[in-house]
Amino acid sequence: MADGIRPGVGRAELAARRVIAAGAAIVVVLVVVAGTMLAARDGDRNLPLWFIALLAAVAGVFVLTGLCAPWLPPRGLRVGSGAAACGYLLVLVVFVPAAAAAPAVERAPWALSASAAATAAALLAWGARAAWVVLAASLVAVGAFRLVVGGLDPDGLVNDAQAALAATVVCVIGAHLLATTRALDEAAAAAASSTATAAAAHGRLAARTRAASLVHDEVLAVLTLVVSALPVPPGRLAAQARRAARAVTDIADPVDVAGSGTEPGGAVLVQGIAAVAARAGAVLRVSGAADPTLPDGVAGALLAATTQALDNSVRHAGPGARRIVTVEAAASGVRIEVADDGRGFDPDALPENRLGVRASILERVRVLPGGRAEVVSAPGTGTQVLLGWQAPQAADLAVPSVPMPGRFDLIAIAVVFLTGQAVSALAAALAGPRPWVPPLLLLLLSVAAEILRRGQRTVPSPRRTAAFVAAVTATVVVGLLLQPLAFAPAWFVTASAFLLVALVLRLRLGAAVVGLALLLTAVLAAGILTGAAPGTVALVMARPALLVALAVLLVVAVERMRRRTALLHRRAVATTRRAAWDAAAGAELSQRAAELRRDVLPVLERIAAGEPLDEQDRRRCLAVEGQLRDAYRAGALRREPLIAAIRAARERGVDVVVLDDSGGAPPDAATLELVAAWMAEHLGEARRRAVARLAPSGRAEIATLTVDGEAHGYAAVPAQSSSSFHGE
Amino acid sequence: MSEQVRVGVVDDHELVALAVGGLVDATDGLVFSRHERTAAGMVSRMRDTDVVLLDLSLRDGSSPAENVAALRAWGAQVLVLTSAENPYLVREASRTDILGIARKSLPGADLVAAIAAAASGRHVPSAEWASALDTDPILSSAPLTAREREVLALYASGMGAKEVGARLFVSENTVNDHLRRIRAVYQQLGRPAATKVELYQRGIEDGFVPAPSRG
Repeated sequence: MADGIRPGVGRAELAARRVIAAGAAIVVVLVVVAGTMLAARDGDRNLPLWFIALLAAVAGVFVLTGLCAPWLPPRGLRVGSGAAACGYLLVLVVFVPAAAAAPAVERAPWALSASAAATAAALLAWGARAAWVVLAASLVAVGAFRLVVGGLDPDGLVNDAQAALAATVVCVIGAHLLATTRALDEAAAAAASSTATAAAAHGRLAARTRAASLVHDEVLAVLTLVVSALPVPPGRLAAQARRAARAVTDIADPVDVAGSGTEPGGAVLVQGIAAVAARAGAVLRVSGAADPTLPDGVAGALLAATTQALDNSVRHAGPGARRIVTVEAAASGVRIEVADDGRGFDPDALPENRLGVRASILERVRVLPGGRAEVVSAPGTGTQVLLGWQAPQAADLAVPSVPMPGRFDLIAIAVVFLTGQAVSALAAALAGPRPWVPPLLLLLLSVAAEILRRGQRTVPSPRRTAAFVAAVTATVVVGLLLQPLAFAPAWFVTASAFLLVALVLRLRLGAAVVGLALLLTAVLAAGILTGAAPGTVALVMARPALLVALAVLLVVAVERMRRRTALLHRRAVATTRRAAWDAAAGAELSQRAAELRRDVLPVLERIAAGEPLDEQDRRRCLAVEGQLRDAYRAGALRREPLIAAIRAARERGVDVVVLDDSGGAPPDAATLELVAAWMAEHLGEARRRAVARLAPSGRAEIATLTVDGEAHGYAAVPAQSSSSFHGE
Repeated sequence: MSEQVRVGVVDDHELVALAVGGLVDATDGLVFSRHERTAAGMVSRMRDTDVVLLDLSLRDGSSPAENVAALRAWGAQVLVLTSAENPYLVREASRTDILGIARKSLPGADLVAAIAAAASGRHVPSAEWASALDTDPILSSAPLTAREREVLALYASGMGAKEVGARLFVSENTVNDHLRRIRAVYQQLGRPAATKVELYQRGIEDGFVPAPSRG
């Protein structure tokens, strides 16, 4: 079988598998106990010894697998379950010669109805389809045995109906649970890998950031020494300048600094697209940043997908088709559209194995975290291929919830439930003294089920939950008052327990356990009051208790897994956010590195060459040094004509300090323009020292300029329009 | 005072020490003692220095706070020398027990004046220092009087003690008293930050590092 040996079973799925195996073992233990008790009661011990031994051996395999489940590896679990399921099928087959050898056997043995455990074992060993096959085989075989060997009485009917229902629930819920936990495992793995990727990128960026600040340091050491009147030996200064120049050259080329020589960045992507577009004769439109920040692998995948999309268009669009490639880049993502007005095709009719579009274009981009890819086309309308990558946001890393089983599965359970209960009610009506009671109980059960079904939310409201538990309890109490306490007539107890299982699956664990306690208490009380045999009371109570307990166990296990996955997701989101910060800082630093190269390198090279510097050179250095400081602190004041005025003042030998203290809420552009012009004008008067400052927002003066100790303030212009509302 | 004040330098760049050393030796009453690349190196010997000129960002990843703490425990006064640091580093330094912050690229005479002031135990406030404090988000919760806030704002606009005094009709001494108290209040606000990474995070917290643009 294709899924016989899957490459890996994740933590959540393995836990679910272990819980199911343990549940199957418990079911088998209870069936054996009940069967032994019933056999003792009915005096039904005529089966050959070898058959009894086989039964015991098979039960032993079930119990051993269940007991060892917490320590078994996935493969061991699968082998044990497979052996158990095979053993069950073997029992079904060899019962024919066993019954033939013992003519005194009057009933099919109870052990044959452990179909839920066998179904679960088949599910674990071979998957859902095999589970359904085992369930069907069990139904057919047990039905046939009852007809031929005997036991087609109310007790047998009720037992078989409930067993079939339990097995159906196991099939549906179990298969769904395995699929869900598998999805959780995949989500956890994806989250972990995205965390790892982000952490790697974080490390690289942090290294680059540090490198950039060191460069800054080297350069400033040279400039401050040149600028200040400090006495420095020229040879030493030249050596320092050489070191600084080398650092500047290195950092302007981030590949050297990052140490990963094969990182194609956003600029490479845009250049690459331009080249392939030209080759395919397409019109290219580029907007936004020329060098978007893209993590490893993204630029390469997008470029390859774009190339493939253009190739496809050239091959299939037909002669004379026009092609347009649009690239929109932003700091946090990029969007590429390859469009033609050619023949077009129906993407849905695309064969699965058409590698070109599916693997080379769509999948290549979709596997990227944050990647999107789509083909829009129809015969005669041309083709559009949309490719995009967006830095993953918190929303993209949403934690998967545990979904309910599909509609079809729920309908299947409902049908089996209603049929099974109808058959049981019929059997109970035939067996009981008051034939009208079982249909009444069936009605009450349906009412309770309807209360739960009507709820819109997955987790029903407290009121609905209370109403539901009350309805279930009422059904049980009414039934116990009107029906004799025996296995078949008390079928409604198990039916009620199935309803409580539904409540468990809708995550009302506490209420379901309370409902079970009420139910068991009622049965126990009825047993004591009517003086029923303890064995019968236990038999009536066993299956309900087992059903609800197993369901609770399963849901708790899955819920724990879900929480663990949620934690992983939160970590991944946090890492992604931090990476976004680093990306922003990195972009700023690389821009600054380019500025350094442009503004500083020529001066550094002159100093490095040991050329004597005259007063004018010194002042030029002063200007550059000031510019570096301004990059940190001048903020919104880095605008013309102020920049030119500052530069001019510095070249005159004035010590100029520029501070933007507006705290990220600078005045509007028009006001800034007035402030800059005002400052530029007054800076012309400075001789020694000037401090230009944008004041924190909310002060009486927007800006101040202190020239040679004399302070000037720029007061806010009385608001004439909405301009005074900025920053809010 | 008749005795000479010993001045040491903690800086990554030997060249800076060489230059500053020459400047110090050429000044009356000052003598250059030693250069070290790290604060730890400076305090590893018997104290031979009265005033340490400390570079704000050192390559060993140490924070101004821990460096100042080590040097003060050693018994030296500290004057921080900066090149063009992020304002949050300046603010961080302001919250430590230092005499002041001076820019390395100050005109020579101003730098000498700053070092001399520190050597005589006086505080050396600057516009950058006042600006970093004046924009501190926790200023509103700091126990400063209205007058002290006013002094800080005027200082941040680039005025000296004399001009601030003239503007507020008080003596220069009164302005210096205000500055001393502002400094004391800020030093009490000093939050522990052991590493540069933490400082960087603190910078984000305090709003100094700009938020990534949502372009």
